[in-house]
This record gives sequence, C-alpha cells and structure tokens, in this order.
Amino acid sequence: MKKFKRLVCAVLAAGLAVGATGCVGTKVGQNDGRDADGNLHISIGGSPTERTKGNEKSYDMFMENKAKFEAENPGVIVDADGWSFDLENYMTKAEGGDLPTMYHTSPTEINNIVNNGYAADITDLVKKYGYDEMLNNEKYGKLYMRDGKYYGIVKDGSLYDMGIAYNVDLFKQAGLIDENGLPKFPQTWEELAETAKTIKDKTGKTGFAIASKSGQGGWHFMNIMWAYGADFMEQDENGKWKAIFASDEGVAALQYVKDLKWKYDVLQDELLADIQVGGRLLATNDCAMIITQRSMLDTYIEKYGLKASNVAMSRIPAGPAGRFSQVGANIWMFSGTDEQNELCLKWLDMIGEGPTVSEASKERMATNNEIKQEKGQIVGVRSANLWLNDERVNAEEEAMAPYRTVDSKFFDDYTNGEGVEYKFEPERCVQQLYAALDNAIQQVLLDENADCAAVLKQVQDDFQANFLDKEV
Amino acid sequence: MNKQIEKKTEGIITISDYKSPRVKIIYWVMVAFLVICSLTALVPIVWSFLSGFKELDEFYNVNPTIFPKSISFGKITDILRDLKFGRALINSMIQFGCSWFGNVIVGGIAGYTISRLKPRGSKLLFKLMLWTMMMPHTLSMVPMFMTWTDFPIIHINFQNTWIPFLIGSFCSIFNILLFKNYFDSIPNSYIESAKLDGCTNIGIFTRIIMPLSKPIISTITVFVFTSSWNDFMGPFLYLKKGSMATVALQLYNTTKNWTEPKQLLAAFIVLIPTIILFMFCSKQIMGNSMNVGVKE
Amino acid sequence: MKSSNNINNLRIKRVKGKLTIVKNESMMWLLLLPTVFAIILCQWNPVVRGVFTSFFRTKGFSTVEFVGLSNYKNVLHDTMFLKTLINTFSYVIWSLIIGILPPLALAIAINETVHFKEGFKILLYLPAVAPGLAVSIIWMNMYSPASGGMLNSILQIFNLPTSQWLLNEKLVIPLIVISMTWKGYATTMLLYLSSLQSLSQDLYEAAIIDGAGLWKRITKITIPHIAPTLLLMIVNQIIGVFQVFDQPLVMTDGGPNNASLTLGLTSYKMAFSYMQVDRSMALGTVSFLILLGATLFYFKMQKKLEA
Repeated sequence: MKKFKRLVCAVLAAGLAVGATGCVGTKVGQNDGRDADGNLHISIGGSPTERTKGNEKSYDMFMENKAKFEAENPGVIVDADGWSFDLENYMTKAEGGDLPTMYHTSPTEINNIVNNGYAADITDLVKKYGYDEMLNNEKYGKLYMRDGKYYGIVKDGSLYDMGIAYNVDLFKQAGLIDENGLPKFPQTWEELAETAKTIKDKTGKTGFAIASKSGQGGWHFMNIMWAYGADFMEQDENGKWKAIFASDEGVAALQYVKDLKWKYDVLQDELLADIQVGGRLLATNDCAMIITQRSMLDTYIEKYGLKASNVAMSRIPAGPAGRFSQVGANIWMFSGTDEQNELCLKWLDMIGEGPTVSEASKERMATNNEIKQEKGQIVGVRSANLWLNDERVNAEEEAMAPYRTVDSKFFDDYTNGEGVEYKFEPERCVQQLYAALDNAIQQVLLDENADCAAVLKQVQDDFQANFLDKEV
Repeated sequence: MNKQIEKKTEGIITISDYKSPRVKIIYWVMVAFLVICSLTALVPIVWSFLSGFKELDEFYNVNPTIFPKSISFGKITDILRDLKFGRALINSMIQFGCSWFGNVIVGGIAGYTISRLKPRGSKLLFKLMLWTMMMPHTLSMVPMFMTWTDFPIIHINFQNTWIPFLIGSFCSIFNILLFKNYFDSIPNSYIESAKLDGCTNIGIFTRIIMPLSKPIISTITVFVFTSSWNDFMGPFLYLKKGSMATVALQLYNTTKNWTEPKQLLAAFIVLIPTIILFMFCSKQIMGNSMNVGVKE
Repeated sequence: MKSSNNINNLRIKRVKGKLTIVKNESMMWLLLLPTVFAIILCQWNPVVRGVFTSFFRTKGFSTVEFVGLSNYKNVLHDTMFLKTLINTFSYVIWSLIIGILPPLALAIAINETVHFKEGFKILLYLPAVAPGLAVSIIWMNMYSPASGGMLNSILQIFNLPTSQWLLNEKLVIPLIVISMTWKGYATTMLLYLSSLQSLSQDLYEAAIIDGAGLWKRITKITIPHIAPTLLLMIVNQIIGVFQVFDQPLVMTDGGPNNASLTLGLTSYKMAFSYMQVDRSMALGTVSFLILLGATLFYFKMQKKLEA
C-alpha cells in the first residue's frame, strides 16, 4: 500500500510538471501571418472556400476580388475561410490561433471577446481610414466600441431591427386582408394577440409563435418589455450594475406573454422552442406571425423553403410605452497583427463594403442581389443602414431593381419603421440575461397559475446574484 | 419449435425444466419480451430512416405517416456530395487507423504484458489504471485542448495533425482491461507446452496468443470503429483544416442549416459502414470475449 | 580454494540471473511505456491542470492571476447550484432505475432463448451504433408536444389524453434518461451477456442434481457470478450520467424552468457561452470530488465482493 501511495505521488508530480507550464497574454496576432516564402496572408471568415453547386457566383466573385487585391498588394495572399461565428467553437479557435483574420459576429459577443483578449484594437486604423468621421458613435457606438476604442466595423454598414413577419396566405384565409392586398398589421401588442386569436379561430393554425429557449426567447421578449416600459439594468453611483427588470412594467410584459398562452391560447404546441421553430412553422403555413428581423427570413427561405412571395413584414407593434426595437448588426472583428488588420480594411474598401459608394460597391450589390434572387431570397427591401445618405439609397435601389423577388409594399411598413425607437441590448452579461428571461417565459407559459411578479422577481434576484454581482 | 429447444445446452433453464408447463410459459414470456424490445429498438430507426425521405411539411404532418410519398435516391447522392463524402471518408479512415493502432496494438501489448509477463510493479500499475479508469472526466476537455495546442515544454501546436488521436488512444484503459482479462483466461497449459517446445516470449505472443485473440481483437475493432466513426468532439477540436474534416465533423458542420428530414437521412447514410462492419463481426462480439471483471 | 571458487561462481550466477531479470523487466516496461506516458499525459495531466486553473482568474484559457477559492465561492454560492446538483442526482437515480435492470433482463433473456437468438442480438444492438445526431432528432420527434408527435399520435389512437412530454418539469428528466438509455443499453447488455456466458454450465448442473429450482439457481449462482460486472456497470453509469450535458443541451437547453439543467451543462455553458473558463473549471472540480466518492465506493464494494 505504501508503494502504491508513493506511485500516486509520483504520477501527481509528473502531471503537475506537465500541467503548470501555461502561458499568459493576449491572443491577438499570435503569428505574423507570413508563410515560408515571406508572403503575408489574411483570411476572410464566412467566405466560400469551394465552387459548389448553388454558390458558383459567390465563389467567382470572391476569386475575382482576391485576384484583384493580390495584384494591387504584391506579397499578400487572401485566403477564404469558411468559418462564420459560432459560439460553440469560438474559444477553441481563438485559443488555437485559428481565427480568420477578419470574421463577423453579433454585438452580443463583443464584451466577452474583448475581455478575453481575442479582439484587436483597431482604433488607429479606423482613424487612419477616416471611418470615424462617417460614424455616428453617439448613436451606434455601442455596437462596435468598448471604452472609447474601436473593436469592430459594421458589416456592409447595415443594421437589423425587429419586426413582425406574416404568413400572407393564412391572413387571406382568415379574411384579415385590406384593400391593397396587405395583411392587416396589428398596431399594438394587444391587437397582435387579438389578430392571432382570429387566425386561430378561423384557420385552426397557430396565431403567433414565440421563442423560449437558447437565449433567443429572452432576445425577442426584450422588445416586448421595452414596449411596456421596462428597462433592464442601471449603474449606481459606485459603478455597480443593478438589474431592474422586475418592475411593474416588466411584470405587465410578462403577463402579456402569459395571456398569449392562457387567455388567448394562440401559441405553438412546441412551447420550448428556438427561433428556428417559428421560422419552420411560418414556412409550412402552420403559423401566421413571428417576431424576426428581415435577414433571418432569408435563412428560413433557404432552410425551410419559406416562399418570399408569401411573407409580409411590419414594424414592431407598440406597447403602452411606445414602439421599441432592438437594433443590431453584423460586426467585423479582427484577430491579426496591425499589418494584417490594415490589409483587411483595404479589402473591405476594395470590395465596396466601406461607407463610400464606388463602382466596385455597386457591382457587388448587384451580384449579391443576383445570387439572392437565384436562391429565392428577398430582394427589393432596403435594410436600415449606418451610412445612410441619398447616394447610398439610390445605389441600393438601382442594384435591386433588376432582381426584385418581392413586392416592396409588403415590407414598406417595416422599412419605413415609422415611430420605432431603436434600442441596444444592455451592456453587461447579455447572454446570461437572455437565459434568465427564457426561464421566466418558460415558467409562465407552462404554469397557468404562475404569478408573473413573483417569477420575474425571482429571476431578477438570481440574475443579480449569480452574474451582475460576480462581474470582475 | 420444440426441436430447437432440445438443442439448448446453456443457460439457467435446462431441457429437463421444460417438462413443467410453468417454465414453458416463462420461456415464451421471455421470447415475447425480446420481441417487444427488439421492436422498440428497430421501429424508431426504420421509421426515422424512412422519414429522412420526407418533405418538410410531410415530416411535421399532424397525422404522421410511416412511408414517405416518394423515395428518391437523388437525395442520397446530393447529401454525399454536400458532405464531400469521399475525402471525409479517407480522413475518417486515417482517424480510425490511428485509433486502432493505439487501442489494439499498443493496448493489446500492454494487456499482454500485465496479464502474462507481469514485470515487477505491473500490479501497481494495473491498480492505478483501474483507478484512472473510474476517474471522472468532468475536467478533461479544456485542459486537454490546452495541452495539444501548446504542448508543454516543446511548445508545439498539434492541431491539424493526427498525433492527438494516436497518443490519445494509447490509454484506453477499458480495452486494455478487456485484453488483460481475455489473456488471463487463456489456459496456462498452452503456454507451458509452448515453452517446453522452446518458444521465446515473442514466439508465444505471435504463435499462440495472437491467433487465439481473434475474437477480442475483432470486438475491440468494432468498438473502436464505432466510437471513432461517430467521434465528433476530437476532430471538432483538433482538425481545423477543411481538408482534414472527418465524416462525423462534416455531418456536424454541414447539416446545421439543413431541414430535419435531410439531417436524419444524412445521419443514416453515415451509419451504413458501421452496420456493415457490425454484421460481419457480430458473432465475435457477442461471444465470450468481453469479461470485464477486474480481478487482479 | 575450490570452495571459495564455488561461492564466487554462485555469486556470479546470481548476479547474472538478476541482471537478466532486470534487462527483461526493463524490456517489459518498455512495452508499457506508451501506455504509461499516455495515461500521464491524457488522463492525469488534464485533471491536475484543471484543478490548478480553478484557483486562478483566466483570460481565455490562460491563467492570469491567483484568486484562491474565489471561483469556488462564486460557483457554490450560485442560487442555481443546489437545484442543479439535485437535478444531476435525479438523472443518476432515474438512470439507475431505468438503465440497470432492463439490460440485465435482456441479457438473461437472450442467453436463455434458442429461437432467433442471433437476430435478437443484432436488432437489440442497433441503437448503439446509431449516430448521436439521429438519436436526438428521433427522440425530439417522439416527444413532440404537438398532436403530430410520435407518442402523442399513439396516445390518440387509444383515445388517451396527449401529454406535454418534455415541457413537463416533473417528466423531463426521466424522459431524457429514457432516450439516453435507448442509445446506451446495448453495450451494457453485451457485457452482461458475456459475463453470463463465461459462467460454467457445470455449476447449474450440479445445482440441479442438488434439486435447486429456477429461482434458487438465479439467486445462488447467476447473481453472484455477474455481481462484479453489475457493480462495475452501476458505478460506471453513475459516473457517466453525472457528467451528462449534451442530451439536455440539444433536447431542452436545460429547461423548462431549469428543470433539466445539470452540473455538466452549466459547466459547459460557463466555458463556451459565457467564456468563463475559471468558473467552469471550479465547477468541474466540485463534480470531480463528488464523483471521486463514487469511485471510492466502487473499490470498497469490489473488495467486499472479492472477499
């Protein structure tokens, strides 16, 4: 037995010797990106890596740009990297020094990426290229800045905001169509519930589908809470963050969701759902309304065969406090050395993703629309843009015209967004907050006797204690 | 029917028991139990395989059907193309090769050494291995990843190599245990007589032990194949180059944006090699080769 | 002179003998070397490294600053910790109820039948080779709360009320355990089966001569014979199920109302969704210590069985 113990000790010691040799530091620019021939590589995340059926055009466009860029910048090689942001393997990629030089992600993740040292600070570059003069940081800085430093660039300058998507067929069946052939868009959340009820009564299909898991329930529910006047967190004078969403307004919003299930009974059977479920139900004509942003519809079209011609979108309904929609964007983030990151900015500029409208960018918009048309996705609806000026709007309209797949009247209400106030997601522990709200939604959807105030208070206390109070 | 029962030579119930009607009932209840369980195992598999051919609305239909409206083999070729099956298959085979070498060759030799050669201290090692086998792995994933991406002392990143799969398979203690127990069960007399005939240790291993070990080797081969074929976490962590992706990784990467029926069909297409191998080896696996008692 | 020569000879012989043994033994250890190296590198090193990391604040996967027990405080003071721990135990208990006896019963039944024996073996083993992705899609469909879900359709055929399945907080854990068992029972069954087949037929025959009935044969011969395997499987199951995270992640994401959240899933989310590797490691260490209890129990019981 003594021998055994000694052996265990030896093994432990060996394990420790192997184990305790970690290294500390930032993971940005881990290698200089030069290959054996001295060429400098940059890799662009989310690009087509192979010419396969269905993406010939995107691939050709990428290769064309690559050739042009490499000719303009001798000694530089542009690599396509098929990876696009995915929380599941983000960390392992970042730790393995395996991130593309440039990749896009959602604003939700920026805090974590920056705090863990994976994001390159591109403030100097942004200033050098004059992007900062074209940006309204006061309004949109939260999307790409932290502590006054730039960490990202909004992809394409395009923003997304939330609205309601409608299945036009089901509205027709329920007789909820106005003289222009448009669905009668509900103007308030209460109206939305009534409309959903009518749909359900007349067609037997789900009136309104909501998400309730994977953080996506909370993400959508946030818009309803704002409409009812709730806010999520605030900083006290010591700089400590306090969760404040269990207010009367927050409870009213939760009560609304509860009513959707227990008073109106208009929700889908699969109550534990992520946003894919709603998209699927919309596509198979099993549901009339979902909360979504426009770009998501393209995903549903590709994945579930949703018909672009059968969809309409309106701005988000109003609540007692007004109309509020979360605004987000795809953010390009960078992981290379300054030299590499600068080349990435040049690349963005060359392919016409920068703020200025050039021949290159017009051409790219047209090709993109052509690709979308081929896939049956939505062309003909402008998205909100960071770099909004007449020149840009005209260029976008021009590029859309030949490839239109939808009648823009079905989307006008959404695009005009009259009276919608944009809001950003809170700054702290956002993923955890979404998970907490998911939990609140699940509780009231599954229990007819749940007390909304108590549920929300409990969720808020847990969130405060487990996350906000433990922020480092 | 009863003729078959008369052939029964093993088990708790013997032929003499069948004279009693009570035992006969027990026997048929058992068979019925097996039939029910087999159906529970088989029906969901067949049903979902067929469902893979369904269209989305058919798949989620309120009144589910068993048979799809049409079975189109074009869907299968589409999936194979999208998965880049050819290249992925080669990669999976390399992974299996690494794993097999570690599990069967290295593991087999280790099992033999502990079972037969018994160098001083091997008993302790065996005890230690048992403890290690029973050790929980709640902590392993992240530190192991750190180790392979920045190997201690030499600071080499082993991502995009097959080294993690090769070395990782050297310590499949469960299989070493199976080997050891199997070798333990080989009667000593075989080895004694070989020794008398002047066989060396190596001779004994290659001429006596190896031929006798076919059942255990094929059992472990099937285990190793199933687990490396379905292993998605390893390739997910260590094979970042697209050209090195294995079938399981491709399945994960590509099917994420597919509809559920297409995902199912893909998953079942990928299952076929395992089933074929299993059919070939099932006799061996089901035999008396997997004693996992841990006596020293 | 002669005698001293003899002694010398003897000594040389002895030394030589010892030398050959040493040489042989080091050769033998050489054969074990890859295994020993891999065990240290791949089994012990991550545990030590993980525990080590749990005492530090991390940036990414790297340790930044020693913080003592602060990560543990955070993890243990989490208001969800107790609930998660109870959930995790509940998974284990359900898996013992559902997952231990049926495979054993199946193994005995297969061992006893002569009709379609090979066929049963193959059919029953099929779920074990089905890929995990397919298994979760199959069971998500089974448990679909919509009236078109598999189980609900069956209930409707018999005019029974439909169920919410995974949406029911009380049912969610046993239902997930059933889907895990469906995938996992076959391997356990095979191990029991080979244990049963290694039992010498003579023992039964001797018992029959002594006039032992069926029941007596089972309790006095069969059960004691497979007891070591049974124990190993039970402990293995406890350890395996205690760490479960992928099935709840896919099927319910821990819901409804955190009713299916496990320590493993929390630890996974901490590391990969919230990027807090330090806390994830601390939670991993806590579960490691709890499970070490199971390991100790196993070796204690095993000794008892041997005695």
